[in-house]
Amino acid sequence: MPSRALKARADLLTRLRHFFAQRGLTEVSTPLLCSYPNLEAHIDPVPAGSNRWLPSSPEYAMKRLLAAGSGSIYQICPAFRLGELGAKHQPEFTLLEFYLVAQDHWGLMDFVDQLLQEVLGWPAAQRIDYAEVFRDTLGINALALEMDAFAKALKSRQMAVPEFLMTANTTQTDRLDYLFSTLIEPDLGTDRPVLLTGYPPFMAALARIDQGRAARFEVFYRGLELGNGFWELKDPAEQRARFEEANRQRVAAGKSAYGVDERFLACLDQLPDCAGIALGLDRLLMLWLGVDSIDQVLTLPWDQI
Amino acid sequence: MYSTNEFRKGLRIEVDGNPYIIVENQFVKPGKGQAFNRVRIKNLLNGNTIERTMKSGEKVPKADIVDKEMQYLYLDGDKYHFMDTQTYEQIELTKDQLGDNWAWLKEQMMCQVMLYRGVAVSVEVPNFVELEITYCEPGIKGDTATNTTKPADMETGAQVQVPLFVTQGEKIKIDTRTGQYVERVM
Repeated sequence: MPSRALKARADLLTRLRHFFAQRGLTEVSTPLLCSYPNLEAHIDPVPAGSNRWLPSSPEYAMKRLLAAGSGSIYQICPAFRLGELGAKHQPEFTLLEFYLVAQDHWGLMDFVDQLLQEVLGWPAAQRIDYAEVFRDTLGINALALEMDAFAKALKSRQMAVPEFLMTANTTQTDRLDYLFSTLIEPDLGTDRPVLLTGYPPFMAALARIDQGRAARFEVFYRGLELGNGFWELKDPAEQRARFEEANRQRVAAGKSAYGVDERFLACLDQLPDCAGIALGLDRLLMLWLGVDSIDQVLTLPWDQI
Repeated sequence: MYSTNEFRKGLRIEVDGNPYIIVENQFVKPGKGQAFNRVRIKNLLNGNTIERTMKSGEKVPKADIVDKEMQYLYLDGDKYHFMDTQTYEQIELTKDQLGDNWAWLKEQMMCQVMLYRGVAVSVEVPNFVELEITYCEPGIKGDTATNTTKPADMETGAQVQVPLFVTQGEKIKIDTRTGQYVERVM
């Protein structure tokens, strides 16, 4: 790692802490050795000894603090995702995760926009609707994607249709994600950051549903995904159902199902109205420094430790 | 078998019954979405490059490829003969299979022969070879400029551009990756 990247990381951390302190957020540190992994269909947790897991995001623990009355909080910590390795991915990376009490995803978008402008010096962000970008770029209805339309969109661009996405085990979300990361994302946010919102309700993850759309957004700049924000779900029954669905998808894909963190579910009743986001700190640094591989911003990359 | 997690540039895999080498591997994953690997792979038999998308975690067979150090023996018609100096086993390759490398083959030279399912399919020559000039226009003594060149015929039949001061009968060092003159060998 060149010393330029080392200093930039330190500088970014200082600026971020200053930005959050000015706005009254409290910095927190939650445990890294957890009794339950984050339960996601497509994120594999890293085991840590007997019956402990390294978090893929500090979300469950931070929501328990929020439910206990912490007020708005932020955390900068390592996160772990098994097998994710490439120019933009590392099995161990740094997340900047924060929650704003008494805000929805719209308020959080304004806050993120301010952060990107003030801390990183980037231009003001543009808000784009998920369904609109699919319609304008690909002529596709993202809210109801037929298998035929999916195959046609790829074939009309002389692209092969991956067999693994045409089976019953895969979902509409998998096909939308594929079209998005192949045909839309590379050109997203060329001139200024994009806050993409209005995701279909079946892509809600940990967000509420608001007016027929998932109340969440993602941040992109220069073709790179930077973060995922939510107007946080507070309904324990709905959350349990989504966990069960994630486990069902995992089993269908031949992966292990995991236990549900009951302490986390139990806290949702007391969770204040809040919006939260996780930003990839290493990716912010990549764009800040204008480098195209995550290795270039890490102290010691995966294959050198 | 290789899992896509082990994919890296240079790895040799079997796809649709053909051996390929990975030229580029891109891991793509939308935050909470299904991950996949987009790879550019080059067919080791015909050199064609194609693009493939595979689900991450999928397993792909290893290409049955073995690299063997062998000695180049002689040319017989269209066939280039090589020998394993340990077992004395001999194999032959056609000029087509050698690509541009035929130009640098000198008898006794050690090369890397690539075997696919036990059959020789191509050969790698050393990055640098030393060959004798069999013909070139007379040298201009004292002209040490290297930016003006003249063609020279090598003992293998290859033609290389050399500086004007180089003369017939001299040995020169050549970079086989570019086909360019490097220096005179005294």
